[in-house]
Amino acid sequence: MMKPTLSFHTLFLLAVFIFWIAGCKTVEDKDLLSQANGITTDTILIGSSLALSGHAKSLGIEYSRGAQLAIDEVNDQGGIHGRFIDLINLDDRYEPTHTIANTQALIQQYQVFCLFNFIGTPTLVSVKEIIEQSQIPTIGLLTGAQSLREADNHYLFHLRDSYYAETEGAVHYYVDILGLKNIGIFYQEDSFGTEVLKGIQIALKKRGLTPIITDTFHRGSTDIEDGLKFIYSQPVEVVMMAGTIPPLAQFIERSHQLGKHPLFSTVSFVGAEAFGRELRTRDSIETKYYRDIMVTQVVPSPYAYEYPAAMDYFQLNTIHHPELPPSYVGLEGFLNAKLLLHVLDKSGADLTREKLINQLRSLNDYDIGIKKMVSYTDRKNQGIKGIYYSSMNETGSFELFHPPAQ
Amino acid sequence: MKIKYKFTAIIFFVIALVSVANYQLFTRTFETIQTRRLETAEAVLSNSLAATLVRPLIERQQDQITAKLMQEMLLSDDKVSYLIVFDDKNKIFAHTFLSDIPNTVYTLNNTFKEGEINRIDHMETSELQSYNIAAPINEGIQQVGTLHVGISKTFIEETASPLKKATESLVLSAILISGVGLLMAMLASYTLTRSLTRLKDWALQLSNGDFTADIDINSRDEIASLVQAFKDMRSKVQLAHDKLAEQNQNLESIISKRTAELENNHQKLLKNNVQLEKLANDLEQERKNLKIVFSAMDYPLIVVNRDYSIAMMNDKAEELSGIQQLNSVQCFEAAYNFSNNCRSDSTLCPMKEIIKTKKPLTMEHQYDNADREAVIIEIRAFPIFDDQGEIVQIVESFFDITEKKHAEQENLLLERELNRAAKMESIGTLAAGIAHEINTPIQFIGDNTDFTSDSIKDLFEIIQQYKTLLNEFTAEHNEIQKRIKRIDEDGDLEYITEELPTALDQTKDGIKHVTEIVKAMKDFSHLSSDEKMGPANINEAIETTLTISKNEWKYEADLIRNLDPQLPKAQCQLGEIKQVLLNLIVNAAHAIAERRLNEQSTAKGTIEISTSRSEGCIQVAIADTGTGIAEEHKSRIFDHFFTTKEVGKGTGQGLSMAYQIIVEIHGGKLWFESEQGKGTTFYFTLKTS
Repeated sequence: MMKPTLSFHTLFLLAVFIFWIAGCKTVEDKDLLSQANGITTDTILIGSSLALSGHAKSLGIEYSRGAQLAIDEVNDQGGIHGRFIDLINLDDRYEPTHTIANTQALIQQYQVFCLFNFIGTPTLVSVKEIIEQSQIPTIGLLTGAQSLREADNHYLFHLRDSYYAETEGAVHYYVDILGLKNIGIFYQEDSFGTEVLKGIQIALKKRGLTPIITDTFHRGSTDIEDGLKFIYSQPVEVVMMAGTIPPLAQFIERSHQLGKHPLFSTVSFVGAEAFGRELRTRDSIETKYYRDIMVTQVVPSPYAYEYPAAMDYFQLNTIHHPELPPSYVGLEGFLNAKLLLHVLDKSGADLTREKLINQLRSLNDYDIGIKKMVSYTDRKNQGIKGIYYSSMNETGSFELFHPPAQ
Repeated sequence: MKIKYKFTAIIFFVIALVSVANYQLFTRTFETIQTRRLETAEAVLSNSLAATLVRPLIERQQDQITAKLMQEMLLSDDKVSYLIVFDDKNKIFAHTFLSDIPNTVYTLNNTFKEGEINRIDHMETSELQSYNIAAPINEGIQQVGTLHVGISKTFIEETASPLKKATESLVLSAILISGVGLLMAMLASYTLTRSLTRLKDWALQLSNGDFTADIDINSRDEIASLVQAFKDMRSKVQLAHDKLAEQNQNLESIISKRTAELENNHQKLLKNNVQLEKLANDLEQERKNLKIVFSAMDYPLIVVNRDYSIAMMNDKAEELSGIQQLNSVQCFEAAYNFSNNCRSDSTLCPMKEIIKTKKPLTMEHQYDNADREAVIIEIRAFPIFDDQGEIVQIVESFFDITEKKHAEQENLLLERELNRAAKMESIGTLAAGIAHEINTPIQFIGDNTDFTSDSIKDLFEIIQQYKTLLNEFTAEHNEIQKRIKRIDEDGDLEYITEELPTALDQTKDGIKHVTEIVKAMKDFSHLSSDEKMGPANINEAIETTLTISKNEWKYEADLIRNLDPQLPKAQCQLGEIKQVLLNLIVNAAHAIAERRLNEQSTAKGTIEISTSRSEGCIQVAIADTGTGIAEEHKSRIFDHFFTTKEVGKGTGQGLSMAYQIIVEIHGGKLWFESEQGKGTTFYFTLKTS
């Protein structure tokens, strides 16, 4: 009896020991920071994946155009340390599967120096791991998702403020200032919609409230009839929404057709100008209700002359695209590019990804030209703070307004 | 307790502990494996199932959820024993129990800690033996229900049975080992403790003071050496004991003598202290009285020693200087924040003057305070003499007379401005008169020219028609055709047809131009200070002002207009704003002229006028490529009568007036950016209606 037990014991201890040793000897991380990636004697290759077609295309087109204005301006003046900036834009149609393919192509096939100007929460969430593993700096992202702002995202560098800040601002306006309590939420059923939903729930919870009703719709679909009925089964005063233009415009139009006139709001992601243009084509929405539609913004109005960067963007856009009006999203893309160009310049002529990352993480109080300073730290990957309110005016464009103090 | 029992007990205890620990470890491992399995596989599945139930639960689709639960149950073979969904009011909403719901189910906990994504409980009741996985059904951060998944216990235990058998055999072997170990321990401890017991008895005798007792141990091990060491110690301790007793007695007598001396000295010191304290109190009281009188004065007052250090200052003086500590503060630091002695050539020093004259003195003093504002103070100083009639200190008091002085200066300015206004007004009236006189003839000249121009065109058409007709009738009469051609050529008809309309157009342009100048003069002469605020088109105002001032700039600069056609109307006194525009444009032209002169340049400069809108206001920018403003002038250019122009060219009024109009009257902003050698841009804003 005793002998077999002892041998079992010994074997067990031996096994534990071996596992312990194996556990201690971790495989050393490969250094993936390549020196040569995307850099030649006269160019720096930058890669971007965004929606250039599909239901979110207006965002991608405006975003990349805004960025290109700043980049062309620098290229015209001889580039950065003698290198021209070459921005590659790949279309992902706001579909995560395409974003994954594009990101892999940008890193492996095009061998870009860094990633830039991605659009969307579900799209970015899907490539979060790829970015982390490739250790490739990714700058300027059109998303306000909190999960992408946590400290474990070592290579993402956001400029704009979060959806939580936008929803807190919107709820502050509706609840604290207008005194409304019956808030319904209609959101896209994915990580983007859920982020906005959470933001609203947190803001309401702070005020001892919960949403009176919620419903969802599928990304890329305009089938909102069931949701419409469900939302209006409660006496909603405000409908806060998260999604792209087609379903939101459809929801607002159908609401008015049913004789429902609550206040509507959504976050900056929608792209206010294109949203306004779309809403104006919907005849069922009477002009007198235009002011009831609000979009929270993370950059100032492109017409706001008191901000030097907004003025630069406005002027460059007017010179190069006189037929196309400036936009909030375009300005955001422009500011992202300004940030990128600034850190590229500061990283010096002998450019490496490591230097770029160090410059970004130590960036302190960089004046980007909208009366706000950009700063990052090792633990904070969010550049600026603060939101703006915009509502639709009689001509169908969204202009900033300042809610009265409480 | 005897050591041999202790040994035995300890060894037994250790063996027992190891066995129990091993058993615990194995049982724990067994449990961990089970829980881990639940956590990694079943709990994750439960969470993802919970996620699919969010919308149906919110929309209260009971059938849909029940169907989903049943399907899940079916797919899992025997692994899952039940599925239950609670709603947000902790009511059972759907379940998979085919018969009655067991009572245990009602005790399930549906609340979760923050951040908890699922929870695994061990259920052991007569009705249910299973692991219960509870997963919240969340929409965002809000819990709308709870999913409970029962994982059958037999299913989990089957996977872990080999490990359980191994644990049982381990326990059996541990009991056997402890039996053998116990026997061996008892034997060892008996042999070891026998000699120790004897040594213990002897040591007890020693400790009772019996230094005579003895011990004998006949072995050669460590215990024998221990006994020898004990013996040596015994003799040394005996010796030391006797010596100590003797020394003790000597020490006591010395101590009592010293104590008496110390007490005596202490009493003497106490008496001195009381006298000193009283003196100090009297002195302090006097100081306080003086300080109260001093502080009561409501103007700054300082007493300065001959070495310029401060002997005293009152509260007001402290406020003025911001200095609290008088130590080593000199008068110039306290009064003017200077770090060095006042220079005798620029500043009259009251101390030096009084030493010279031995009389009180009043003087004015101007300096910049900490905020860099010019301050004028009146200093009244008088001497303090000692018994020999020598000056030891002086007292200085300060009165801020800045405002009084400024008021005097402002009165002077006001007077000059009134004069200027009167002059401007008379010029304005004159201009208005002239404009009116010119306006009337110009109007009919313009009308007649329009008429002539139209008529000429008609006339030419008539002639053309005649010519066509003539051609038809004279096709066969060469002679007549030749004569017509001759007439045309002699009369230069072709040339007249071409040139006459052009000449008339130029005339019309000229008249239009004159009309504009006259209109602008009329507009401009409406300038009046009690004009009402009203919405006005600033782009038009800029055009008018440019026309008026054309002579000033057209030879010096090219003009770039960058006017926003959608510029909203600004709320303003238009005449005043035109005055500002005129001043800024003329300044720009002068700056460019000066630079061209300096650089001997023939190329024209540029004046760029832009208007733009921003929220609530409009902004006008006038940029020139002139000399720029010198760094040392930047802070003063809005001052009255400040000018860098040659004598006779500028009055120093233009910009200060612009500042008054924009900032004080209209509540707008006026500022500039300038780089020397590159140019200057002036900006101002006006509120929109």
